[in-house]
Amino acid sequence: MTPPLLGLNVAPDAVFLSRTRRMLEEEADFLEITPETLWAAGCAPGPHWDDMVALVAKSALPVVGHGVGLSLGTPGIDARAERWLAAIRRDHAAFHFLWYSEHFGFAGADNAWAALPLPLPPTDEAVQSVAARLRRLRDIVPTVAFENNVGYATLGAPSSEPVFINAICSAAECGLLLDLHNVHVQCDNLGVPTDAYLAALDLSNVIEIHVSGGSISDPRWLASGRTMRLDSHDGPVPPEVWTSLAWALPRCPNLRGVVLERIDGSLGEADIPAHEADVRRLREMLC
Amino acid sequence: MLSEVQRILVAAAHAEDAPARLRALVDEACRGGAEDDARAAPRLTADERAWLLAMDPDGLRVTSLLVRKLRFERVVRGDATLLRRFEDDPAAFTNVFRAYCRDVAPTFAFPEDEARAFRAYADTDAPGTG
Repeated sequence: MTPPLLGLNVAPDAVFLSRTRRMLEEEADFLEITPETLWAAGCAPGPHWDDMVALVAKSALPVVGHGVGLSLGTPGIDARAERWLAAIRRDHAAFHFLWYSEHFGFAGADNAWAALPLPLPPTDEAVQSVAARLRRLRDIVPTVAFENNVGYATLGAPSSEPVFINAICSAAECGLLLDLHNVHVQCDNLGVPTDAYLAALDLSNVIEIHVSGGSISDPRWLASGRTMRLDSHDGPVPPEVWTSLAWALPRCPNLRGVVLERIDGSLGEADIPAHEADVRRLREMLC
Repeated sequence: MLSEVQRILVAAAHAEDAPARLRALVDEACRGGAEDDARAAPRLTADERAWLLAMDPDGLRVTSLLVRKLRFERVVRGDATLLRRFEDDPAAFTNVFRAYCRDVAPTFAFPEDEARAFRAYADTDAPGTG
């Protein structure tokens, strides 16, 4: 089996690119971009679009797309979705995505936009809605996947989510982007054993894995003082996620790449050594 | 029905008291409408109603905070002058933003659109801007 590739996310942020430049140039086998971060209103190319095209061309690395805003779970294909898909098609012509992933959930309804992917009910209707949008996405980029999201509150038992995910992969004939930090966050917050969640997934669907770190919510957020883990992608990879990655790697026969995610704006100068250490650790695990 | 579940969740996610807003919307959906209303039948299945009402209230509150935080970020990222206004007087700006969230539907996906709408709201004689 070909070892999976090591990927790093790139963002249109000069400081972030400067601080991750060495890792991007020396360690990344592929790059992951979120196309809508390059768009302006109406899904038109924004002020950083040309720069990103140039950066990717200069790197000579393959690219995957990882979107947030297609809103996979919204029923039907409305005018907004058509504009979004047209923009992805345009970007695919420029970036030649190896594969394209979107977030599990829905980002808007009834002309109201949440931006944060919200949970779906575990129904056949939801399975078919997600599958329909993934099929339209696959008309543009031949290999598509969706990512397990973090639900701070879910519809139905969170322990049943793997069954729901497996059903969508089957209905849509698509891959799964397994975000191990998202699994860690959701399971910890909602009291589900991580190993049971992972064991219930059909790991033959996994084409990409994400690892990252996060944070803990401010205790002032909730009147109870309760805190929750957040999928903020703004910290080093925690030990539990490395453990999950070690478990998952030999069990994902169709895995193509693992991306170490870090959100732009979260990487200070003092954070660079730890981030580079995470990249080196990931490289060792993938060899 | 999926679209009704989603309409309720998005509306609750934008509310300052997400659990209370969700309960109210679920009750309204399950009552249905007037007899001559095409949506007279309850708009949620029994399962959908049960799942919505069983959502972790703290999880809903955190979700709502993050959704509204993202809306705030669209405002200040979409217009550098609005970011400066916030930095100059965070409390006043936040009060206007809260009023904006109550009065203006969250229809914008891109920062420049959200910022333009916020500026139009804030620069008129809107509640909380005086």
